Amino acid sequence: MNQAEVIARLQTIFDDIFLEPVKLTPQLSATEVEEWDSLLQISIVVAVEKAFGVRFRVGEVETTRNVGEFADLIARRLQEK
Amino acid sequence: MNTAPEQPRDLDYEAIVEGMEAGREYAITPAVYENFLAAFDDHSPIHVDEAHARARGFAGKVMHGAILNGFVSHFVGMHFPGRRSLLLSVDLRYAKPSFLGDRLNLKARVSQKVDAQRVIVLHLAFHNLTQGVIAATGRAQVAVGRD
Repeated sequence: MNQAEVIARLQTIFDDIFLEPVKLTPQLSATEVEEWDSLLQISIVVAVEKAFGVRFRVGEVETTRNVGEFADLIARRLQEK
Repeated sequence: MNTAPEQPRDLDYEAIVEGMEAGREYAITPAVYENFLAAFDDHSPIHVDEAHARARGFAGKVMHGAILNGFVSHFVGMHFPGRRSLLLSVDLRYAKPSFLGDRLNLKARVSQKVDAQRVIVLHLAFHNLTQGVIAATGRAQVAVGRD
């Protein structure tokens, strides 16, 4: 699964979690979305691990700076399965 | 006679595994009901007027669904996992009404552990032991701290 495919699937997850619609792009970061706080980030990680069947290591999600890097991390975890 | 306050259990995050189950019984006693009314002031007639509730087809005053959320808060903070926990979210669907005096058994199953966030997801089911029905089902996200 490439970055674009991961982001397309992420979009459905974000649509379920966010009250206000968020259009995902590779460049989008959490700081640009008012609703995207640390608590919502937990819900995102919980949903992503379940939806993609992957597990993240402690701290690695926090190292991603935008949706594109997050999608790349998910793609790497998928390749390791 | 003084009764010592209940002490929260203390379950490590590492001791929790996916599939683990826990449960506890609760009762909607007059004290629970009256304290909820006093705290939140929801005196909607469906909750406080017996005749009104019966006219709408219920067997009696319908207990506030949020009382069950209170039981979830107690369950997570005091029983499973206990003192290290922080309730992040609760999503309950109230399937059947509960009435004053009903006894409920809350069953929880750890459906997911997210090590990167030290968060567990619990699937919840309230069995109404008095009525023999499922009163509510749902899920909760719980952060489990290190101490």
